[in-house]
Amino acid sequence: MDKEKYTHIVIRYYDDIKRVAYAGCKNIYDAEDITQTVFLKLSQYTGSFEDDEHIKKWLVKVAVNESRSLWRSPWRSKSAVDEPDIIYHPADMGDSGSDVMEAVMSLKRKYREVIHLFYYEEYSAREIAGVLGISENAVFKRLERARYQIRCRLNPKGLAATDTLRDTGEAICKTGI
Amino acid sequence: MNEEQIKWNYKVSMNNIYGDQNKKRAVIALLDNASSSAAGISVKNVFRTAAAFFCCILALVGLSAWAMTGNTAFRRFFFEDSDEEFDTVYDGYQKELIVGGYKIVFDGLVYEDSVKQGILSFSVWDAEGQPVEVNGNVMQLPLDMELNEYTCYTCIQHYKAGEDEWYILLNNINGISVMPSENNIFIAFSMLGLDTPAYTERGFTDFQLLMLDGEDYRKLKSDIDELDTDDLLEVRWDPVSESNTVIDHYDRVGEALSSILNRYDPLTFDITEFPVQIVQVENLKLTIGRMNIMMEYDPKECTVNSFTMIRENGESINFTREFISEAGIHWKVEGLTDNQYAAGVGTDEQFRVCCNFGFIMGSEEKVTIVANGNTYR
Repeated sequence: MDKEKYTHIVIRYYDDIKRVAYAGCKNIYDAEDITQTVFLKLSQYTGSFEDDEHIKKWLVKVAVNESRSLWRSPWRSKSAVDEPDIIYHPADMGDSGSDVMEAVMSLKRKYREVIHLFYYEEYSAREIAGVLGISENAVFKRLERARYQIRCRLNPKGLAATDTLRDTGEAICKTGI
Repeated sequence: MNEEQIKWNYKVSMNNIYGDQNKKRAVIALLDNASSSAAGISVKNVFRTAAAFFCCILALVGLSAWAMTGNTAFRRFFFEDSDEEFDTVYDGYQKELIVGGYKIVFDGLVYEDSVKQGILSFSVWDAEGQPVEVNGNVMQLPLDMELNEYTCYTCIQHYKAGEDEWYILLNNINGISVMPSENNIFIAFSMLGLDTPAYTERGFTDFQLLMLDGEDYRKLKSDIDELDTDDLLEVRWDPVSESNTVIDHYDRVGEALSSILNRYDPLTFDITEFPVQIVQVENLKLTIGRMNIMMEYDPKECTVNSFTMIRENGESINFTREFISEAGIHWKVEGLTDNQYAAGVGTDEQFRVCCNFGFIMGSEEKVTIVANGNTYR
């Protein structure tokens, strides 16, 4: 890949990839490392891309994989059982913004991934399924559970009576996990 | 707060995550560094490794066909030169099931004191006695660390090689392996008993085999996929405090599995007649064809930590486990650079090897080696 093209990609997608990485690892410093790793892999990639959108999806997929790999490395698995507390970097978002962000960041990684890709990147369920390597049905289910858990966090007492409770969702709400 | 508000707030929050110009410049500079650095493993080595795998597979197929002359001969061939410890380990039981014109041979591993039984590996043969290709065919039954420590261990491992995907659900009670075949999908579902107070009432000894078509298999796979695998973690139960954590956990998992699997008619087999022997699994040494494969087994984590492939000429390739992902166990080949490594059934960026507890299985179609951006089959 020539430098001009590479530079254009970095400038255009760096922030987006960092956000994907952050959604995956919840740590701004790890997100920066992951972002660098993603673009390093891009610099070494010898395949071809159809268009810029293809490039972005490739970068997003690598970022998701790298985020997963981070917490499955032997060092991490031996030094920390759970994901870390949120190391939250953004400033000045107002109360409602921080509540939402905290609610999303409190989700398990697989739910944060779909939330970010669906709401921020505005990918379709099919595209998300392709990035994450899961079925479309699994994407819908994860989104449903993620939304439910977010609602539990933001308004635990105000759930609508018609809400359908899944066993896991109900258990999570009751235990506050 | 409705969904649109949540979406808007999340987007606004995330927009505060961005990189400064210095970091972007550093990333841009990576291109210069990457182009001047060494490429990593040589193509020659990758081709040699690919050729070695292919030889291994050919040897396996040949041995499998030879083994059809009798299972006893099969075992004798494999283990006659092994040491006593290995003979002890592998003098477990074999179970043959005839389903839909196929013969499925299961090799088991049993323990005496804790009465834990597990299916170590299986092979599938057609009516003509020819081996049916399977991919990722071994369930590693997790082992308790000590007899007085009651552990309910459950995980779902997702294996993928080429276009085939399957799930292996492991826990102390239930084990499922999925074997894709040409027309039907076999799911071997073994329910094994643990002779511990916590599970006495829940002990199962029947072995079930489900044969599904492609559509049913996809439904089952989808349902198992949504069992929320993050909840299926190792759980310890302290018998002194009589916490019900494990039991509750087991009930939830067991009920979820039962509700999924009960939709299908299983073929039930009773395996209580299998003999129980004292075994100790630490290291296994198997000889397959012209390659010796030595594996180091970690009973606590119930997986293989490393293995060495030794070619006929004595050259060895050492594999060490790097990490476990949803896609399988990822292996690292010593001597490669950081970004190039061999893996178990892994992602597009890694080697794909059907690697499991005792065998390396695969075919030309299913063994894919990806290194330095190039694909070798």
